Amino acid sequence: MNSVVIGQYIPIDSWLHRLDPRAKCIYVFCMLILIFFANNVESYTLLLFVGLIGVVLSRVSPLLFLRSMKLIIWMILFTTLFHLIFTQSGKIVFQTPILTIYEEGIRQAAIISVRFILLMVFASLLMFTTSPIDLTDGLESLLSPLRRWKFPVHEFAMMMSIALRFIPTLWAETDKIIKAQKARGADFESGNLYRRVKAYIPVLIPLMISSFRRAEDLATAMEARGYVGGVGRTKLRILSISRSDILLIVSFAIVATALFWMRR
Amino acid sequence: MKHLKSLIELSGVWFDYHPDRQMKEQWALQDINLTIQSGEYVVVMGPNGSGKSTFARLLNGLFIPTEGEVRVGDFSTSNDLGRFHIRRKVGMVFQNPDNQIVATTVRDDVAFGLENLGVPREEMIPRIKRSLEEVGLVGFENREPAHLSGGQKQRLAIAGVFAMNPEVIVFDESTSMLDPQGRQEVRELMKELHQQGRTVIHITHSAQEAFLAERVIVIAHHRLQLDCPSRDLYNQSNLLERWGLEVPLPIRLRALLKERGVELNEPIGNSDEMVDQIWRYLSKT
Repeated sequence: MNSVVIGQYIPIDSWLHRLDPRAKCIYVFCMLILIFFANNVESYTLLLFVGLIGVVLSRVSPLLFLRSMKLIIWMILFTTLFHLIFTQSGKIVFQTPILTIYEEGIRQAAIISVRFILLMVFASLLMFTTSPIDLTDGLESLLSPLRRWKFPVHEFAMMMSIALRFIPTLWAETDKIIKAQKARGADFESGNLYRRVKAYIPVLIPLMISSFRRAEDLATAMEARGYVGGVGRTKLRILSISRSDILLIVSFAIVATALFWMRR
Repeated sequence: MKHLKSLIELSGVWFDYHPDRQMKEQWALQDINLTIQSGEYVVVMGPNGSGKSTFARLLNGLFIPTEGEVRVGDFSTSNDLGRFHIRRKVGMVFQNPDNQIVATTVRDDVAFGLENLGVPREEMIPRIKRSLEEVGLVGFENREPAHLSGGQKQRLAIAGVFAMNPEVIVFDESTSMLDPQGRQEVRELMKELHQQGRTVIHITHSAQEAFLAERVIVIAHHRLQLDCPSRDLYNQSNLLERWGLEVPLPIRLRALLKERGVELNEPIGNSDEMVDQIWRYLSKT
């Protein structure tokens, strides 16, 4: 039930799971930028190799990575087709009366596809190995300099973690309401798309009302436990940079240097 | 009797959510005067809509009296600084077990109150451990709240309050949404907290729970109607009915026996004494 919603995190133990969420966030963010600097076979091979090491180190089943590719397969196919048809430079590879495919078209299509795949692999690595609450903590810590410009970093993180806390609760409640409406004769399965979407209105409205009630109860409970905002709070969860995290950043520096050398 | 000192004091308290829109005779709570001593175990009973939950929220400054004053120790709920200290002294466990858990794991939730108080991390860790031991949730540290039963969630809420080491714990209908087993678990915890010397205030609409306490307060029609030791309740069955409260079986039995001409004259404090007296009565005849 919960696995549907608490997206992606795979709760196993691996070297990547144990890394500091901040280090992972920075690494993946920089890597996503670096991908756009690769421009030849060598540099893409290097990045694919790094991605593959990541997959192995995460100890997450490669099948799950393949499954996450399903989300972008249409984007890949569409852009590939687009480049094959509309790029018109370089040698002609293949010619029919209605369609001519050029060498440059194939090259562009391949580059875009590999880019998409790489983006997805690195993003999945972060999501698979970092629990949502660690991710929230990491983001809170990384965003904390924004406090200087009055950005409500603590409130933002608190909001995220409360949302995470209530996702399973609300999911169970949705289930309950659907059953209750079915018992009263509601029909969620037949009719066209419009009718089926409309059938969910009697589910959403009670859900919304009960969410407001929950929010009010929770706010009262938080106040009763002495919550007065982020000022003067201490934290149980602490993030600490270990040697592994430094290793991760150093490895990124090496990959980036190698890539720029390959680019020439 | 151990020496008691007055801990919570309500003097001339009137309260309403919209005092300017309502006649004073219709306010949610009217003219409450009450003292609760340190170490007492008090049940506050009342029918639905009587204002008993409102009363609970006056005790830790979630609501502030429209007139009059609530004092806890040396602080008044009417000023900000006082409220912050009072929240530390008066913990509160609410009715809905789901809606009072803030964090995504058991450990983090117990920490929440401590984090608010600014307790240093080194001190937090043993206090969390101690609290989970107290409520019997050791081994559940990394569980998600969604995977706990109702009774376990309520015990977690108690652990969160216990960690803050309050002098008073207010239970606002905390047993009403639980199954019988969960209810029993929570009642036992209340008893234990009381035996440790904490003041326990239990808000309930179940008259049966009144006998768990030493002192019973009845709030009905927005006013304080009765304030007596719980064993005196046996002689008040007609009053309970008048306020729309369910009368516990032993009390009803005694009243019905009286109608039939069976007089149990000795004072009765709980159902065991009741059984004793019936046996004695039977062996006499």
